[in-house]
Amino acid sequence: MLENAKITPRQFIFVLVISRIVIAITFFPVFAGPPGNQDVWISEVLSLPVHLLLTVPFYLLWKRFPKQSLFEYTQTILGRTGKAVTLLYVLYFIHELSIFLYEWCAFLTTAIMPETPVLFILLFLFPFCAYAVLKGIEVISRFAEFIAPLVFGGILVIFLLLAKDMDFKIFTPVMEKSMISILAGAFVMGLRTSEIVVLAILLPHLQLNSKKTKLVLLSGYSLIALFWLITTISVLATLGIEFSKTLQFAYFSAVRLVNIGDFIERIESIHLSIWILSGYLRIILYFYCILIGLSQIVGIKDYKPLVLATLTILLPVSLSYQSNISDLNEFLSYTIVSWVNLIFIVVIPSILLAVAFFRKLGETNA
Amino acid sequence: MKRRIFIIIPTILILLFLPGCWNRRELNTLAIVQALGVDRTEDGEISVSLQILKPSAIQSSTSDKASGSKSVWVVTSKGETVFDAIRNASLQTDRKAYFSHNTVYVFSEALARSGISDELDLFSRDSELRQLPYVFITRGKAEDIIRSDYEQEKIPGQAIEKLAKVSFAASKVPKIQLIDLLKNFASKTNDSIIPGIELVQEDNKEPSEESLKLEGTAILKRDRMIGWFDAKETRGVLWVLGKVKSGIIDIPTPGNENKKSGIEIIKANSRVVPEISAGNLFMTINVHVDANLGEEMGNTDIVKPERFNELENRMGSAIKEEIERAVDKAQNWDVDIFKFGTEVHRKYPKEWPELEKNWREEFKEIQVTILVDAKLHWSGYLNKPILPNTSEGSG
Repeated sequence: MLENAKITPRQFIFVLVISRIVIAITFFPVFAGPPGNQDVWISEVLSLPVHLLLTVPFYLLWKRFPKQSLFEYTQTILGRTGKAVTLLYVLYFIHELSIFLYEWCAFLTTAIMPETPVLFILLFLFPFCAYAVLKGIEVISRFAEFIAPLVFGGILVIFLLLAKDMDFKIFTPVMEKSMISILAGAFVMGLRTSEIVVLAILLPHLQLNSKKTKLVLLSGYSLIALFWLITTISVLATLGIEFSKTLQFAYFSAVRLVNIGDFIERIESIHLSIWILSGYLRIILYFYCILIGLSQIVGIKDYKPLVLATLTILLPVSLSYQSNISDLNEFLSYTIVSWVNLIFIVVIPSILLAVAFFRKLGETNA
Repeated sequence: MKRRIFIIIPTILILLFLPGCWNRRELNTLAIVQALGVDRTEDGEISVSLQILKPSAIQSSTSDKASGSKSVWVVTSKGETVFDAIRNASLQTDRKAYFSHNTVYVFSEALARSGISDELDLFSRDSELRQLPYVFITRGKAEDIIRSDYEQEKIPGQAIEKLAKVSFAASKVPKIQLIDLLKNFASKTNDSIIPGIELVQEDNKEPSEESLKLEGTAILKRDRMIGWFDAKETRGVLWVLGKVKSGIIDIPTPGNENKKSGIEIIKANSRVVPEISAGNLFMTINVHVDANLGEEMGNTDIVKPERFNELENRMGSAIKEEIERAVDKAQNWDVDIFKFGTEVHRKYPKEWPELEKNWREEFKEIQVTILVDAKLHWSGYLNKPILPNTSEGSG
C-alpha cells in the first residue's frame, strides 16, 4: 500500500455516493437507456442488487488481497504484465475524468457562463485539484464527509420546494413495458457506475473489520438508489416524461421552476453550489486514482512529484475530448458507455480473479 | 509574520481578479425586460416587442403617474428568427436586453395560427429566459399589448402578470405558464389552451384610455391555433381539468324565473374515468363542486328546503351545460384539450399504442358522460330576502 491512510466507513460511503449522484444532477441520464418511460424509478430501485452483482469480481479480489489495491494485485497476480493492466486502468480513469471535465465545462458554459472560455474554467479548477490531491486520500474522504450534509440536504430541500408542483399521476401506468426492459435499465445504470473501480482502490484503506464491508457496500448503493429516486421524482413529477426527455440538463430545469408564493424562487444557486462541490469531489477522486496508478507503474513510493506533470497531460487531453454536445451525448448513450464500463468493471477483474484462483494466490480461506 | 504576509498578498491579488469575470453584468448595462411580444410581419419576418424597465422612472416617484414619465420603454425590432430580432433590439437600446425578470409572453393570433412552437424554442433553450412567465394570445398585434399602459400599476408587464394571477376569481380564462405549454407540446396527444388578452376601449373615453382585459381562450391544435372559446366554454374546460378555483355561476332564481341568482364556487375537483367496452371508448367526467349562495335577485325566500334544493339542482345542470358545450366544441374541432389521451394511456396501457396512432379520430368518437355532484352549503349573512315579495307570496 502506498499510503498508510485510513478511511472510516462513513467517509467511504459518502465518497462513493456523492461521486455517483453528481451525474444524476447534471445530465440526468436515466432516460437515455431502457425503459425510458415512467418506470425508470423501478429500474433505480433494482439498481441496488445490480450494483451488488457488478461489485462481486472486485469484492472477491479484495477478499484475496485485503491489503492491496487494484494497482498492486494486478502485479501480484500477473507479474510484469500486470503493469500493462494497471496502465489500462490508468487510461480508463483519465478517460473517465476527461469525460467528466467535459460535462463540467458543458454544464457551466451552457447554463451559467456561456461566454467564459473552457480553458479558463479548467485552469482555475486545476490548482485546487492539485492542492487537494497533494493532501492525500484521507483529506479527500474527509472533504466528502464535510460536504455530504450540504449535498444531501440540498437535494432534499429542492425536492421539498418542488413538492407543490408535483403530479404523481405521471408514474401511472406502472410497468407499462416488460420487466426485461426495466431490468436492462437497471443494468445500464449500474454499468455507468465507474465508482466500482474506484472502490477497488479505496477498499484496502477502509478501516473496518472485513465482515462488515458488505454492509458498507449495501448502504452505499442504497443511498445511491435513494437519491436517484428523489431526483427522478423531482424531475418527472414536475416536468413530465416527454418534456424531461427533451432537456439537456433536466434536473437543473426542474430546479429553475421552483416558485413558492413568488417569494422563494430562483434557487438555482443551491443546485449550483452542491453541484460544484460534488463535481469537485469526483474530479479529485479520479485524479487521485490516476496518480496512484501512475506511481505504481513508474515504481515510486510517493505520487506527489507526479501531480503537476499529470495535470499538464490532463489539460490537453480533456480539451481534446471536447468537441461538441452532440458527440458527448452520442458517446454517453448507453449503447457505447455500458460496454466500455463492462470491460473494466466485470471482464478484466474476472480474468484477474480466474488467474489468481488457478495460481492459488492470495488468501483463499476468507 | 513573514509567512502570513505571503498568504495575505496573494489573497488580495486574487480578490482583485475574482469578482470580475467574463459574464459580469452590471445593473446599469442591463435593459431589464418585463414583457415580450412576438408578431410576424407581412413579409414573414419576426417582430419582437420588448417592454423595458426604466429604473430611474421607477425610483423617482411611487404614485404620480401624472408627471407623464412612463416607467417602461417599448422597443420593437425585426429579424429572421426570434433571437435575431431580440439581438437586433440592441441596435436601438444602449443596454443589452436581459430576460431573467420577464413575466409575460404575448403572441399575436396571426402568428399563433401558423404555429408557435418554433417561436417558443428559444424561450426553452436559452439559459436566460425562464419557463415561468405567463403566455397570452391577442387578436390584434402583440406589440399593441406590450405598448399599452395600465392605470393601477407602474409597470404594465407586471400588471398583465397579475391579471393572470387573479383570473382564478372568475375562472373564465385559464392561467397558462410557458412550462404548461411546453409539457403539452412534448406529449403526443395533448392540445393546449392559452388565454386571450385584448385592448378594450370604452365608448366615451379618449383613444389613449385603452385598458387591458383578458378575454376568451385560444384553442391550439398541437401548436397551431384554430379558434376561440368564450367564457362559458372555457370554464367548461377548466371544470374538466380541475382548474376551477372560484367564480360565479348565474342561474334563474327558483320562484322568480326572470331574475338570476349568483352562486359562488368555493371548491371544485374533477376526475376523468375512461372506459373501453366493445371497442368503443367511453369517458365519464365526475365533477364535484362545493358552493355557497352568493347573491340572490328576485326577492324570493330562497333558504327553504325545496327552493334551496332546486337551486342546487339548477347549479348542477348549469355546470353540466358548460362542460357539455366545451366537450362538444372540442370534439367538433378534434382537439384533446382535456388530456383525455393521457387518462386513457394511464388506464389502458395495453390498448394505448393502437389508439394513439389515430387519436384525433378516436377522440371525436368518445362518448362522454358528465356527472356533476354540486353541493350548495351556506347562504351568507342573510337567510331571508330583505324586501319580501308580498304580492306573489313566497309559495
